[in-house]
Amino acid sequence: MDLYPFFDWLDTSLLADISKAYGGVFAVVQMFHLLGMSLLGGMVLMGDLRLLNLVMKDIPSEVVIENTYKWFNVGLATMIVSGIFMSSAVSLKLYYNEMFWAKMTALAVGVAFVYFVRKPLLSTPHDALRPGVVKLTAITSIAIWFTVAASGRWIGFS
Amino acid sequence: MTNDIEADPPAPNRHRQTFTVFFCVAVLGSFIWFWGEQIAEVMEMLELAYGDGS
Repeated sequence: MDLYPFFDWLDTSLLADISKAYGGVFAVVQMFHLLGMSLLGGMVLMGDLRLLNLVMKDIPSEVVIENTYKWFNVGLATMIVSGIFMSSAVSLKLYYNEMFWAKMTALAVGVAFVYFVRKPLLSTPHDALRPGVVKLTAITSIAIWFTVAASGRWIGFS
Repeated sequence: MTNDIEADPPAPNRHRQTFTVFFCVAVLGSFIWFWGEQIAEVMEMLELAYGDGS
């Protein structure tokens, strides 16, 4: 599926007009993007380091995981909305950027992983799961979101 | 009499864990390949820019 028409449309959309013309608006949206990223990264690390038994050992891992979901969702939504706005400023450039597609792929894998693998698995009592599987899930989760962040940062240098 | 045989987890749970292991191994394998390629590319560029150090 060729997404070029979408990126072409985004390049001439109202969003692009605003993001290109008003540097201040772009900067504020970028701040929200970074805020969303730190919120999401914080929730991921908090949950996964608990699953790895490295932090908050006195709190049941089910409680920690359950409490991170809400803020993870807020962080993800903030990142996606602000990311669409930011990408409108350079949409055609991004379309031809290999690292941008690496980031989008990692993001799609991350979203699928959280909602279709990690969440259903961890909805059962963690004692009923094999410790190795829980730890593998945590390591994979950290690796996915590290790749999303690192490849996103790499866009600027590629 | 004590029962020291550990019961297998219920089937949906077991299947979910197996699927998770496959998913994680596939993702981690892809990431090792991906970052390996990126690092090799950077090393190549550094070598072109600064030589091999000899």
